[in-house]
Amino acid sequence: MVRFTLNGTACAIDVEPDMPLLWALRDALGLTGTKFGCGMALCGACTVHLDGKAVRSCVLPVAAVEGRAVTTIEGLARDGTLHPLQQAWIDENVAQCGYCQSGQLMSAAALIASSPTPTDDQIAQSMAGNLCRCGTYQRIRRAIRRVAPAPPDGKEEP
Amino acid sequence: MSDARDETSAETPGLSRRSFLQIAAVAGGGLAVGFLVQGCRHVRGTQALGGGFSPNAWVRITADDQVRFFVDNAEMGQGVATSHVQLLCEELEIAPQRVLVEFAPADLHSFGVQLTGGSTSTTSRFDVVRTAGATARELMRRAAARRWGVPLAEVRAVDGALLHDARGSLRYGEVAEAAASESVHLGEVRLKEPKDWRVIGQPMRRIDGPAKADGSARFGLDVRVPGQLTAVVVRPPVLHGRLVRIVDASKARAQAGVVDVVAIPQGVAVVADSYWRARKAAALLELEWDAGKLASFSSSRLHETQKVLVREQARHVSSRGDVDAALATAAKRLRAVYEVPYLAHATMEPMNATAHVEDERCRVWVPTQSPTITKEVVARLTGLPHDKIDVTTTFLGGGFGRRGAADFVAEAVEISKAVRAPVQVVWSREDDIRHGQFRPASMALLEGAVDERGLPVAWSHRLTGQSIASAFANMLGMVAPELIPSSAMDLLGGAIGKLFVDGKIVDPLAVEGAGDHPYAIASSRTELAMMPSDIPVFPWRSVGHSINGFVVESFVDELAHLGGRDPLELRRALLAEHPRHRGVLDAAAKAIGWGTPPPAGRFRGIAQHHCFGSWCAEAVEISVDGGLRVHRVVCAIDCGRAVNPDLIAAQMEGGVLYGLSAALLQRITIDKGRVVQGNFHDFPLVRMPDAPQVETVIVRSDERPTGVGELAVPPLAPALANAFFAATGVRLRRLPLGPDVALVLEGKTPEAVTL
Ligand code: FES
Ligand code: FES
Repeated sequence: MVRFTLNGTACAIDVEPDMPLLWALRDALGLTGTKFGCGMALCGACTVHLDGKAVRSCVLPVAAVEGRAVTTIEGLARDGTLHPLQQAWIDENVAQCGYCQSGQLMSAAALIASSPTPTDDQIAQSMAGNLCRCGTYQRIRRAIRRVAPAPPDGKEEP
Repeated sequence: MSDARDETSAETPGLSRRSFLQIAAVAGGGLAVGFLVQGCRHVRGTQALGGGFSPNAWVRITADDQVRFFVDNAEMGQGVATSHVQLLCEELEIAPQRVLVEFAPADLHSFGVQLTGGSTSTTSRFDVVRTAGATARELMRRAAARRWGVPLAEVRAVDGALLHDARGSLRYGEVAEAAASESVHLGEVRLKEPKDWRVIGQPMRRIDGPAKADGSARFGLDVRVPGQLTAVVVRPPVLHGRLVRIVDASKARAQAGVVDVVAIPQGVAVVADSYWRARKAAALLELEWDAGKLASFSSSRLHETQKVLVREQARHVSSRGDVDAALATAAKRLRAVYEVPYLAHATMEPMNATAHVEDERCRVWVPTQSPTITKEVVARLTGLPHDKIDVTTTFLGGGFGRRGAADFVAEAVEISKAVRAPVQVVWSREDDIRHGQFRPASMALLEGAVDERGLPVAWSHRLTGQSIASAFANMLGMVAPELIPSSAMDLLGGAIGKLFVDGKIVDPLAVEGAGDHPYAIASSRTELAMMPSDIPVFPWRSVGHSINGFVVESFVDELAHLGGRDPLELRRALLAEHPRHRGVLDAAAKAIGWGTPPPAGRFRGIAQHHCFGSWCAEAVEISVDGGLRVHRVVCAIDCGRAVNPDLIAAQMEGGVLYGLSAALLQRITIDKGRVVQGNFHDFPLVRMPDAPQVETVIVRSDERPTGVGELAVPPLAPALANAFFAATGVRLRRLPLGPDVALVLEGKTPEAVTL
């Protein structure tokens, strides 16, 4: 039995300890917002927060989250209010097929939680692990910028 | 629903002669408007669909004031659900937010052959969806006029209600039922003038934006049916290999959660209560394979075969003038060999399908670009008639052509049949890349010559092709028997495919964008050598244009430099008769600042391509110190009237990135019949730090809307190679460019392909 906090609620599941968190979420807990893209920590579609940090759930054994706090895309909105990034995603028409976007949002949310005024370079580097086959990167950058302004002294590329 | 009537058979623009307007009452009170697609009533095999009436409609309005719109195209990111709602709402006079959008079920009679591809969604539905909206509006106006006893002309449809100056207003739901017994001729259904549009042409937000921002959008892999099991399939390691026998499945069967191990035509399926358990158990299977006919096939051999084909076996496709004479006598001539690899689609959502086969019916939930083909595949595998089969299309986590095939559906059906339970078959990324249906590899020999003024006078393009049309023809032959006379059906059923493969019929998908290049060159010819190959191929975003656009637009650039002319100026000179080609070229050139010096250390390239009814030009700005970097891409498109300019911009951004990943990074290679690549480390996509800023310019046009989704792909690779030449003086003719770019920037010379 693995016990952890999932989207703010205590949760216990009985699966083999080496099952990646991704499959525990999707198959055992029925939370399908977190996506499977590669299974090798190469695409970021499966990104969730572990104690607030972005991690790839496809390579994280569920045993490793014992006693810790996991947030998925389903828990990003709070009390019925969208996370500001989710609203920015909608406003910027970011999603195309949308399949990668749960992971993109979770990576972006972790970024701005730790760096509320990221540089362009910081944004690009923190999002580099999230692939988008539909090519939505420039809208993702724009949407992040709606919520997280550039640092006042930050050197911005033209 | 009951009481359906064929209202009229009058022809209306864009609705085929086979379309009949259908007005029906919805059970419980309400109105449905659809178009019955009638074929030549040739029914055969499993295709029997029952009576003439089919309950599926484009739009349904019920007494509770709900407006439901059934989108018959697949939503794979291109925004079709949004743009089609705009088309509907413009005529229906209701706010798009008030409309509930559902994906239409697979239904040949109501929607015709449902196939999302070829950038046709907006073009083909532009009139139909608007007419459906306008018809519903007119019927409701009539019903309101009758109820009020006022002249029709005094009733207006505004924002979901019927208004009359003296009588007040009625909500659509209040008149929907009565409207179902009104009648209107198609000729009386007037579509609005473009100048009166308020919804079409607006950059409306995507209607699927919220669901795709909170994780609730349901893709194929998110389907959850009670009792559902998960299957993974172990496929032959060598393409087209065959299972000899299951040596030992006992270890796999003994794993927790494993329900069954079954052999299916595609391989061996492990069925379990979850993906992880199925995947782990699958690794324990001991199987014996017969490698089959591709066991000794490798990319290096393909390369040699292509050389021979291009040298010796090309057959005439099209020509004008005397190319050989022009080549022989011109001031300067040039010969160059181009090469492009096989490519996988690598949609972000791996292939999957969910099927539940029962005795009397079968249900399938699948992210598919071709629901009607899917339904026919299911019918053939189960022996069930079409009316016992439900195909539900989910959101597609990318399509790009790959999801036009139904191989993954067949697997789900086979496995469900075997285990008598609902089964979701889930492909790993490795399955997805190794068992893809690839964009064909191709080689091309280009010869050209310029006169003393530097103007091209001769052009010769010989290419190898692998038949995509045959794969497609076989598939279409399966689905469309009702719409196609039986004689043609038998041809489509296989014979045509063979004619393409043998080169007896020129495969249009192999030569598109080559044989019909627009440049005014007096002597020009195209020749094709079909490459017999068992590597599975299929349409891949922009299909043949993805190959030929690169070759043609690179070689035009080569001829410009050979003749000492500016690449833009030369193209303009050769396109005097093609204003829309010139229009996009000029727009891209202007936006990037062609003719003005680029910023220090930056270099520019340009290319254009016409396909899917539209025109697209791209201009790129790169730098090469410390590696190739793409800074800017300007993408100009002329696609007729822009239904939603922001969706068009998004498609340009996406197409550029799709093209860029292919141009720089991607190739599928084969080693002894096995696909070498397997995941995103060896089949990479461009990542955010390397993604350029894409600026879209939509050239204003009053023409009918034409293709968008595939347009931005073909010009990207040549624009990039042309910019690289501007930067280094080295012409790269082999995709992906990445490895050769690295060599050049290290001061080495990439090996040239010689014949
Ligand atoms: S599925 Fe986890 S990184 Fe791709
Ligand atoms: S939106 Fe389709 S993969 Fe990112």
